[in-house]
Amino acid sequence: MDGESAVAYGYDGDPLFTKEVWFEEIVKQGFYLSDQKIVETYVDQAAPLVKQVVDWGQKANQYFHFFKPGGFFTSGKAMGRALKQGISEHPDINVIEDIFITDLLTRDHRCVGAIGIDVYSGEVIVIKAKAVIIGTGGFQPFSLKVTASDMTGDGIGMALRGGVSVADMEFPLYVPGVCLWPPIHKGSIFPFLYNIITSSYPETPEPKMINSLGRDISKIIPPDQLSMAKGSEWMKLIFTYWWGKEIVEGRGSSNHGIYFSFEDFSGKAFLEGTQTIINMLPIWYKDLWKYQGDDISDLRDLVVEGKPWEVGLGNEYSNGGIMVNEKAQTELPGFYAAGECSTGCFGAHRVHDALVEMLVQGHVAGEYASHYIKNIEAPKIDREQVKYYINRICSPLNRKKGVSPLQVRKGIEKAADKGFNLIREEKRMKDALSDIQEIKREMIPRMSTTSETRAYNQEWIESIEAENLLLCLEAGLRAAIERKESRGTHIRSDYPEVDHDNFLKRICFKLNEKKLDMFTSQPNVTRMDLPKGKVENIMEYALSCEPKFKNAGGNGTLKNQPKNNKKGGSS
Amino acid sequence: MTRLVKIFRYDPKLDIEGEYILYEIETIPGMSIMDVLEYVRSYIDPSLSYYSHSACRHGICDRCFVRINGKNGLACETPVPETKDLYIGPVSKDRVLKDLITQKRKNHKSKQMNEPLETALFSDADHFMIFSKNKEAVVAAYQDKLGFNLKYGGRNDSFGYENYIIGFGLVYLEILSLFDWKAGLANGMISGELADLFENRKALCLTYAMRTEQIDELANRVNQHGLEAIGPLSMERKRPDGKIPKWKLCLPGGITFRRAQIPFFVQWMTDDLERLSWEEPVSHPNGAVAITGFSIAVKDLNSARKIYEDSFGCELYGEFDIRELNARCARYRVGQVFIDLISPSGEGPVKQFIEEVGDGPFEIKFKVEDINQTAAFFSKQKIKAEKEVIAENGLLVDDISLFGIRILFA
Repeated sequence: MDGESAVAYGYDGDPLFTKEVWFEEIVKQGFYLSDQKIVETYVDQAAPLVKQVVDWGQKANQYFHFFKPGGFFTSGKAMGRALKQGISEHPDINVIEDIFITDLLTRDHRCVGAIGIDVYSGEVIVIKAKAVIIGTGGFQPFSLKVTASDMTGDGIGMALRGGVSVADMEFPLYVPGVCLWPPIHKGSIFPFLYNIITSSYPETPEPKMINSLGRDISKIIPPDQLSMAKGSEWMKLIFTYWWGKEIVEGRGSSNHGIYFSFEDFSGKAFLEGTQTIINMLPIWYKDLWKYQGDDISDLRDLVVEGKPWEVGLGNEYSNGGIMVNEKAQTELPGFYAAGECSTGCFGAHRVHDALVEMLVQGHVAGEYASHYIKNIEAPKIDREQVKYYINRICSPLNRKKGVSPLQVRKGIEKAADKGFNLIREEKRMKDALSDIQEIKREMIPRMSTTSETRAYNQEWIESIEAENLLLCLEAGLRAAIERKESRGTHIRSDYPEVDHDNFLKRICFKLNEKKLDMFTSQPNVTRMDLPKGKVENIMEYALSCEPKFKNAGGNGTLKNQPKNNKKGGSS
Repeated sequence: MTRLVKIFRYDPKLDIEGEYILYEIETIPGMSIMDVLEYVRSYIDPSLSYYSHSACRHGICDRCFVRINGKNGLACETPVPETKDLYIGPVSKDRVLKDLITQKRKNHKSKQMNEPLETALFSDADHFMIFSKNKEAVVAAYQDKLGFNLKYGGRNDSFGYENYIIGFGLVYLEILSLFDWKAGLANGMISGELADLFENRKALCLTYAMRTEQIDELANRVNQHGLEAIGPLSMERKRPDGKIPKWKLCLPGGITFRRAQIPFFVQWMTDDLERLSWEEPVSHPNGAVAITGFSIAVKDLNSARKIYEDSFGCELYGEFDIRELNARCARYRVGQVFIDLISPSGEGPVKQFIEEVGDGPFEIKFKVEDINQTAAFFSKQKIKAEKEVIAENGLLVDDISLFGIRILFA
């Protein structure tokens, strides 16, 4: 939340971190592609909603650590439990779980419900509704990703099929420091958090970033950029830029990452130096050397044995998604999109919190949808459309033989790794696009599940996800090829300049007769005029943002925090 | 490294029942069970189903439970064990929907998110404790007469008992022969009340143990429901062969061998496969190969159901009348066994049992290889002299005063 609100709630916030400052930071960090009306809503509405979640969390006995200027640091599980607490306080909310919504139902140019599959029973379910709000998350087309397995752009896919536009699909965000080894920890962000937090605890051994030639990457990064990255969420873009170069130019580790080396520390020094932060882990997790559910003592043992951690850039978030306005409304009446599946708040690069985006947009979507449904008639379902969608989603089940949906998914990941990942370049992007166009033409129509059983048929679910993911990647690649500049997380080796004169525009898509039509739109401007001219490269632009505040848990002091902060911030 | 893994496969469209299928996979150090499953899907058979439709892979969502070498665990968090064998199955075979996926509980409260699929807090039967007054009676009844293979388990002088084991893999009957009644009484091994129960009988099944993988949660739950559990206590003992099995014990309702309706709980800390490797394969001359169920006589079915369903998390399999017993039965399926709570509807053997002994284990069911061979064996043993009836296509031996429990072979 903004610092003034934090102070008003009794936290040790920084009043200089005002809503205005916050707004400016988001717009600049987003390389001016944000819809400024959406950003205004974000900064205006965040504080009471964040406070609400923190209060739920405390009721559920979860620890939320406040840090300056106005943030909270907690675990994903704690966040989940806080939201669960919120749901339990609203008994009118009827929760149904494990339903995979596949398509929106529309009639007379309005949304009248949705269709999906009960994953466990395999039944097709039709939901009739005056309004539909989705919060289905982003799309992660790469082989290395850090969130749940179903981040396959399903909401974006259903929006496109429902006639709704999407935008900003060329801007995936990466976490630098995702575990690549051992396989049991692949995708864990512990090394990233460890690295970011070392800046707050000088006694904690800071890993050296090493490429496959044994060179220290931090020596390649200019000191001003290195200092900007440390302890800040800017680390994500800065390290993507520098590590990405190493990996793409063939100096990465065997699993396409780099190494965190602790060679300057003896095993004993490492164990002593990590004591403070390791002692904090039981606040959220069950034990020392336990992160989320992972027993990470093997990472400790690697260091003690003198071995490095192999880490990579894992896809965490998609900036792009469904086009909405500041009320979370889409162009289809009755259809709202909130959180990562939508786009507009963070432009080309997100530094501030996606959780807050989710809270604010979820809240405004609910608010405006509840107004909307008051004045409309009960929905009528178009039976022909239902039949059409049932036929669409069931066709892989009914096909006697064909291509395995899992192989389609792997083909998509291979294409994304090749041409959409990290540092981009025309030829690789075009090759990847041609690969996915071939998958679209040759494999998608032939997808077939091995078993006809509907109950928990993993291949069946995968077949639907594959189609959505492919659609998202196609849009992403085409936008990336079109954008002949570098901006945000779209980093091109062949067009390194940030070109405000030609590309300060959003690239959008709409599905027309099963084909993606591209168009552009101007970012919505309220307070900050769009810049002109060109900047030499992404890093020069980043430095020009001169962020006043570091937005990461790492710049707070977790030291001497009470284990249970039930009373924290309750004034 | 190439290794073999057996994975439970069941496709409701193709199979009458599931079975373990052997796969040859390539492993590298540091793999999880989920990595193994992904390997099988990627390179051998993409139709394998396990929890995956919204999986976190890092122990956050707590949904990918499977049974790994006999123990339930999260696939994403369990490293591939270094044991010779690797079995991956569903957490509960009777609720299997497909392969490693089990049906969600019907009373699964939809408002409670992230609940693990396996909500019954115990996973299978562990053992049954039958007390006897003397060793000769035990050997005569169970070995010489009924044809079980009895294994001497050891002797405890301070409590004054010896024990014998009738084993069926990991599940077993433990027969305690009290050779020193006074020592038993003095040390609280038996109570005066219990002594009275043995006035007119040679043996009695006093209690049974269920195995669990969640003993802490179970202890919390029974405490919350007013059953005041003792434990979990960490236990170990030295066997005559020097092996030291370790387990945790939880005793709801305190330390007493007479716990009427409810079991006590065991969580094995020693690996199942290791424990199995300690035992020679046993065959029983009567042809019994497994324990498939048991029944507990209860006065009040509703209150007993409340304990089993609310406190222990068992899902009701069905409630029905058993005419030949003149009783009402609530059935649960847990792991490989049926648990029947039976309550008298009127005069009959259940009512008589409760009047004589009180609530408690009433009948135990064994699966036999060939019922005709078992019948022939009994006929040779002149067990016909005991009361023998055909029930559920099985042979019933119901001399409780001699065997401590009704015994059904089917």
